[in-house]
Amino acid sequence: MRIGFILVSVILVDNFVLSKFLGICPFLGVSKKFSSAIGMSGAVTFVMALSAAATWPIYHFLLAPNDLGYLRTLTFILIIAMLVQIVEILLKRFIPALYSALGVYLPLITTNCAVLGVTLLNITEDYSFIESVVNAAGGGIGFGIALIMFSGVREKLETCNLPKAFRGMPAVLIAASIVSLSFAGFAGLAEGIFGSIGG
Amino acid sequence: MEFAIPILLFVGLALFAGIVLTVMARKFPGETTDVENSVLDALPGLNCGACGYAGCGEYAHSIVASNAPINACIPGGEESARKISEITGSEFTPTVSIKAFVRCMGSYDVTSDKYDYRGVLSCAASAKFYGGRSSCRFGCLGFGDCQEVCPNKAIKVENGCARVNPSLCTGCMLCASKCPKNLIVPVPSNQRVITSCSSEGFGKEVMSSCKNGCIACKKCVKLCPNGAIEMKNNLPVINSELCDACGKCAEGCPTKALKLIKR
Repeated sequence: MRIGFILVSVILVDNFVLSKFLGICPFLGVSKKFSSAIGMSGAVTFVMALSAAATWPIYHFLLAPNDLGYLRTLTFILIIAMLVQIVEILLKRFIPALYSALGVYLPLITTNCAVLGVTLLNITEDYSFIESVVNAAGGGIGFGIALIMFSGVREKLETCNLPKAFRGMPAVLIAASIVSLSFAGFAGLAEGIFGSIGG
Repeated sequence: MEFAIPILLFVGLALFAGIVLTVMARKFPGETTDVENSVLDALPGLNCGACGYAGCGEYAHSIVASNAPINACIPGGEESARKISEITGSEFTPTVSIKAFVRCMGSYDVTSDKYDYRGVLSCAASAKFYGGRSSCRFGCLGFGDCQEVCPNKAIKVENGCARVNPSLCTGCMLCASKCPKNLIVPVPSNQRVITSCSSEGFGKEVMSSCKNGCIACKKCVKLCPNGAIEMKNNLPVINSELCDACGKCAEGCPTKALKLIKR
């Protein structure tokens, strides 16, 4: 029940990009093309779940017992950077096709604030290990949905005849705000399905 | 001493991360060969993507693995191509450069003004007023908006029509964006036959407005032995992959709107 509650709320209601405004840089940068949006969201989902699984034990067994909770931001950045590098090395060696398809986006995930954000939120929300991983994977899926949906909007936007002042980024930002407004309609959805036990 | 613990812990974690990464990188090296690395060294390393590949690394890989053309690097130019040909042993082919070309021959001798223009002396202003002063609605207006932006003075208006000096042109194509009639096109140096008219009108209209224009008679299409010419919007379009620069089309063109460039 609680797992389902977390999943629905992190994918739709508290969507990382559209409600918490984390990971805006890749959201605007990679949403130009549908195909690269799919690749990017897959990579982000994977890295988010992996880094949540790696940072949870580090916080609960290494930092918290030594009263070093305040070090978590720094430590998590370090761990995430290492994980992304390892994933890159392994992909390059074993799945070169996917490595070249992801290209520069893979190292860019290192500095994606949605990844760091989800690991830190897992700690502040006091989630268990399973809940943390589910929250992170759900956050990645939510990021993917937002990115893929928005890439569709942007492909339409490219062909529009706009006034000169709105061309390019301004129109994209306005479109992003409208898409994010539409996600506000999901407010209360998770409570509606699962009751208020999750709260 | 309580400040030592966080420092030690953090340094320890960083050291651990470094060791793990080094071991991983040693154990699972990417599949790059020595040849590939030396080709990569010969490239400028700008990762501009002008070659059509995603960065220098992939271009180097494609040269070694799948015989990609060695002359595709534009910033590296001849120097890179020469080095790569030494490394891989493949034949040196010069890089393709791009020159601007004005697709209009409508000088004052062959066109006339359709009205007496006394406004601002620029192509952009004139074009706003009934499509410009020239009798040809597609032709060069001759006020030289293009020559003002050219950093090398490679483009000049001569007798009412802009001309590019290929030896000065670097192919930056700044002029093309200034032309209100979109007459200036990039021409790769391996293309030999060029249509030097942009009029999409039918023969009768062209005949009455300009003596050098393409009248869409399609003679060139029939003359071409390789079937490299096709008519689009009443203008011949040359497929440079099929063209062997025999020059029959340019020879037969009744208005000399098709040109063979001698090299």
